[in-house]
Amino acid sequence: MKTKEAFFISLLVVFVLVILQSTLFYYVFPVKVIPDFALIVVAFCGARRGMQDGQLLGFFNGLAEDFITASFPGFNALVKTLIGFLAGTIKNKMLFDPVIFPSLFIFFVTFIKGILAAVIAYLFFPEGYYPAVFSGSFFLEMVLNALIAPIVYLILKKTHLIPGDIWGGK
Amino acid sequence: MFKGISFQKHKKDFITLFVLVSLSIGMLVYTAFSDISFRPKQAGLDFFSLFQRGIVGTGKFFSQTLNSISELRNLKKEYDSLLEDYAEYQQMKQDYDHLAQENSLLKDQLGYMKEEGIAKIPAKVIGGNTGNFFRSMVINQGSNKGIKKDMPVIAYVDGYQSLVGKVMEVSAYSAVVKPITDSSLYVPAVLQKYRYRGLVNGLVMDFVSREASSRIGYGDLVVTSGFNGSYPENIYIGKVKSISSKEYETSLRLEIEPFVDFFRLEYVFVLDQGRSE
Repeated sequence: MKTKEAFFISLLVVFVLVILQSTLFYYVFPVKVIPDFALIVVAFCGARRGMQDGQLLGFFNGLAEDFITASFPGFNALVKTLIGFLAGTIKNKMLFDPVIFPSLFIFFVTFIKGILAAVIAYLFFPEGYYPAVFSGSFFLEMVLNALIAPIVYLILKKTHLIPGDIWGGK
Repeated sequence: MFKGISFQKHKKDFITLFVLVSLSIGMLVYTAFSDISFRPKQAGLDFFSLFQRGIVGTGKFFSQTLNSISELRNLKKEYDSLLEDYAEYQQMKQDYDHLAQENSLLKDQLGYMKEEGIAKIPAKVIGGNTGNFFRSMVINQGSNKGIKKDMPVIAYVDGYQSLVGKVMEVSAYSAVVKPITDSSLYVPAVLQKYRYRGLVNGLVMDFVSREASSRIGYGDLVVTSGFNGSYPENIYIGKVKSISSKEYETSLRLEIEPFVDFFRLEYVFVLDQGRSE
């Protein structure tokens, strides 16, 4: 798949996931914590297709979340942009096996999301508006994201939204 | 991680990063420290809520279709039972009208001021959290129905008015509600039975006088106090789940179990305190 084509399809996938996370998944997920599917897509696309795609997808993913949540606009956009960019820095540097590495990678990425969210909220939010970042539900989200990661990785590979070879992007 | 990433080689990536980060910080600073509504957010909320409506509507259509056969079976039973209830309610209504008339007369005699009515704007929940940092939900009514920022939102649980939260963002056809479970929402509250006041924040009631420790117990009801006027009084918030305090503190800390099940909430009412129904 051409790079531009893959980017726009990924963007559409991310938007659809954001809407599903706030509707269907919100009501049907058995636990009261919803995995961040859109984050997983952003992180994998960044890691396999590079910083440019990662940060742009992250920005639009965050912006969509900012629109439909009570967060200050720009908060999620900033967090996800940085995640997409950081994920992009490992392009061609890591060996992606089908299960273990995607899981560990997404576990780590979710943890970074928490740290970035806490720092950005501390820097830019008025007092009294700090979100409870490191709560029990966040740690559960880290685990859920890690468990779902290999499935999302496989789907992205099969649909050619990320390169299908073992060494990222080569 | 950054080892081996040269700025020259990735100049375009770094420029994009700079632009995106600047845009995000710009939006963040603008909205976090000003009271002015951010129009792109309202437009975006309208755009995404269109899809949310579609998905919720489609989901409901399928679940209703699947359930319709068993529902028909139950309808006859419910109809018979409702007829009995109706007769009972007719009698209750007569009693109520009589009591209301009597109450009004007594109030007039005692010189009470007439309470200003509160209009309830019905709305449907069309979206929930997308992440786990901010608790929020999207409803399908907006400024077109007179909804404004900071209006309280309630739901009926077992026939009782229960507090859901507060409107945080309004667009033309939808609004974002911040629920009482969010730690950035503060609700002036009072223990219904013993009238000890406090402040509910993220389902914890703080600043309750230590004197209350000998009187209050698990399961005691917590309602809005109406203090400062942001929420009408006597709306149920929840019941006391645990009581704690440190020796050096002058107040108690009560953990509250909310009445509203936020994950199963379908319909809510936005309260317009300045308008009668």
